[in-house]
Amino acid sequence: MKMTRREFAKANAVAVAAATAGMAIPAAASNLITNAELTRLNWNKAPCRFCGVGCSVMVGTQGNRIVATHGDMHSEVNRGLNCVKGYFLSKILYGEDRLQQPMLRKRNGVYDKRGDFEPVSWDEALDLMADKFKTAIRDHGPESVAMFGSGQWTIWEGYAASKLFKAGLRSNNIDPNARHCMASAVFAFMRAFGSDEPMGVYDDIEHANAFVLWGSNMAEMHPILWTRVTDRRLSYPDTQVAVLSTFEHRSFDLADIPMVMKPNADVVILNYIANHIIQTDRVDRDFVENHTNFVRAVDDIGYGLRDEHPLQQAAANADEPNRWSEMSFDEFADHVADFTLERAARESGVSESRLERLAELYADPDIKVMSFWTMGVNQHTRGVWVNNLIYNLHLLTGKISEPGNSPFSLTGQPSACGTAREVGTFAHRLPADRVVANPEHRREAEEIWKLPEGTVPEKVGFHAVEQSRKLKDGEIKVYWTQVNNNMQAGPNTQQEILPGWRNEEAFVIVSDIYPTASAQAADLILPAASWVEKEGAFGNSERRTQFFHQLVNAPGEARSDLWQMVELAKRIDVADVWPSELLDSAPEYRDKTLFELLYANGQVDSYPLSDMEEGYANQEAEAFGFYIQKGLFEEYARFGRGKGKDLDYFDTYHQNRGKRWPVVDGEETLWRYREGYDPYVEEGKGVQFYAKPDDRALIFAVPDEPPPEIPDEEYPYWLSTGRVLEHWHTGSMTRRVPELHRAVPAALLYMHPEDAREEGMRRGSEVKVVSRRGEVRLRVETRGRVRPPRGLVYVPFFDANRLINNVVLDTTDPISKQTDFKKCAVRLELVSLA
Amino acid sequence: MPNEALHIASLLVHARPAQRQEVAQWLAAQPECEVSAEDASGKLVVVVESLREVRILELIDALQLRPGVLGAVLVYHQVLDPASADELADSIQPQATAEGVPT
Repeated sequence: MKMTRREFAKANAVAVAAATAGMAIPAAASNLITNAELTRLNWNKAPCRFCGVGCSVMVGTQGNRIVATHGDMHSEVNRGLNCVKGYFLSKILYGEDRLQQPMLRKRNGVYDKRGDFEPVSWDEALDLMADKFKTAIRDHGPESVAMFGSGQWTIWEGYAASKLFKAGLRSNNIDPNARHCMASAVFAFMRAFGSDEPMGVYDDIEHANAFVLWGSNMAEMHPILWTRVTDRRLSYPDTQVAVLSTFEHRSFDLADIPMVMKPNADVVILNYIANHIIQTDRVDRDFVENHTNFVRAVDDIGYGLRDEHPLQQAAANADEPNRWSEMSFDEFADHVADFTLERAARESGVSESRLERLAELYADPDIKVMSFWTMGVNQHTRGVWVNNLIYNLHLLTGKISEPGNSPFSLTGQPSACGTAREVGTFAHRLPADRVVANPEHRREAEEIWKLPEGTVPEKVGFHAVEQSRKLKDGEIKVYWTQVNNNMQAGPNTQQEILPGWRNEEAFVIVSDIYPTASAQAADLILPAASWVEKEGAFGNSERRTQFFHQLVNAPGEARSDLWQMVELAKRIDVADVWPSELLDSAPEYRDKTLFELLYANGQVDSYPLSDMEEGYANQEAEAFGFYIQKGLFEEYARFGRGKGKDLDYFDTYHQNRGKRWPVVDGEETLWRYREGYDPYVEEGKGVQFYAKPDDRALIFAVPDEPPPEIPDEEYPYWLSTGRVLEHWHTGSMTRRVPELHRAVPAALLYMHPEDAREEGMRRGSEVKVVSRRGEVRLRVETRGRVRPPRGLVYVPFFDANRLINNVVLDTTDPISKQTDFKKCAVRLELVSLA
Repeated sequence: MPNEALHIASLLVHARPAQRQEVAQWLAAQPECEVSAEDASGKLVVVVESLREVRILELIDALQLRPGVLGAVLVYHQVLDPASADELADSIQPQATAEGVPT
């Protein structure tokens, strides 16, 4: 039979969608298949490059270009579906202003911080970088260089970067943008369980009969998982969905228990639920006695501001906030007894009846409950505490580590887990949950890396917000960012970040695919390759590691972050950056380059090009002459094997849709810490939190402490920030798609219509949002997707022309150092009524 | 890539079962889209065909705000050159199964 290309594409579109839904394929679409048109498109799997869900998509290329995408039916994550962000995958690489060659600020032919950008060769760019790194370390020590990386780095890029800094340059000043989104989750996991990342998996959705969203707008931010929640809710009508937020959003549409609370009231609500479980005698005594300990966290821990800030000075435990002491169950019960239903309702603004229904989802032993959370919990001056308070509920009731009972911390980036967290690209971490402060951990890393004792520095490096402050203070001389846009995403832009980047003392390098706000504020811009322009691997929120091949070539001279780092390493000698005592203990490295020390070290370079799968390009491997991705992965995987973090062998991942670690004998693990599911649990134990020395998880008693800034007469509104579906984070990719840009053209100020009326404003009015730090002009929106309660306004942060982070306070959780983007005080000033 | 592009996309729409027909009727009245399949559980397969890809977004957006619609997600998206879209594709073997779609 004959069909036109158009008919064929439509038939194909229908067939894939119907098959995805498990529906019969309509006759009109049933006449395709094995034919020339299909084979003209070259189809390959790749994990989506956007959020942390980790959907697999099929990518159709024609020549050197992506022309089609569809959800991957063989993926257990998305089962053929593809959210609107996935739709842009075929577009994000092709913006008109894609960076294609290095650009350096110059005047009179030489680098000048006050010069204008001019195109330069890679050699000129890399030679200058090497010179800047060497000079800074020689004159000011290794703490004068820093890197800000990403949860969008591939696994081997993050690993190569971590190794370059912690082992090569001997600086722990490397931190990922995941600090802004996941750091609170990481600290809470380590405190409660001794091991990062969730115990459960997405499969929990199909086993649960209650879902609680704690500060997460899954409908917009994690739409594919939300589809699975929706399916469950509709297929099993007894299922309940509770949604808690400081404003109403699209996830409320499915909510059986909708709750809009006052900012910071989550601490009180969570403590109340623990109290309710105890008062109604629904504690799982057996579980609690055998598998948990109760501890009291130190209180009065400050707000992660600069040390000289009065709020820091006033806090008793600002210096050491991550401590606790043992307590008994009875003492814990006494502690939460103060958090009554009446108090929780009064302080949160949520009705008693709804709070009680919420509490019953946890207390009722017959309900299997899944908790989800993201930035509402993590970007919080008490983010670590709130994470722990959620675990408390699951631990008190034993509703954990089994199908359907699952506290599930969601992530926002494709490899926030796989790279930032597992590889350990944080300023305090090493691979597989090790930390730089622990001498045994440093020694293990040095042994795997074949480096002398004392190579990895002990001191925790500068975290993200601290990096901005140290740039401003002139302490960081060379700063390199990759796959992030901190000039826009970071807090308090005008007072801290921009002055830091433009500090005469600093040389700032930005690797990106577009001229973002950060690139424009840099001194050197390096054009990067993105997504399937390189071979990569991501790890998603459910511990699933997924690989992809290079499917197209990057444009012009754009090169992957991995290539950039390894090329820099070739230009720096070990003797340039190591002290003589260390060189004396390893004289064999005296005449080597960092490339030879770190990458051509007899391990990373031990896999020949012939190991690569036929039919796929691999720019970096071809450039370096060995299968560098495989070498980096296999060296990295040694950190986790046998330690509960086992990854499978490299070659397997190109053939499957990912596996969830620990992968032992080729088998993935769905529910950690539970006998029968997790091979690390000893026989007869039932449940074993084996990453803790006594196999027990911790239940934390924490008090309620006020936020650092609350609305007052001068600044009467709460400001909360976040995202909208069509734009991902700072919008540097999605805003390159013109149609999309038109769909949500400029960031708006969402506010309650009554507040607008009282302020003499209306929908479309132009207003100034003013805080103690800065101001920004926006247009008022009183309808639509985000519906704030009275007294709170909401602004998304994707718009480079309206940098809301000028206004946001750079306060952080004192334990995790993660910024609180969700609450500060502002006032509104009318500019024009419209 | 030529400036002009023909976009073919399919969406999977999940409606409350009682409101599926109403949603299907609304969809049928929308330009550049057709309902290609539906079933009693409330699922509909919709194909959008447009020179303006913003149409796809608008439709998803409009669907998500419609009463009775629980979700509308994209499944497939392809970009064609409109100049050659109505040429015959090479000969096609009739033989359909769900397994036959590209994997």
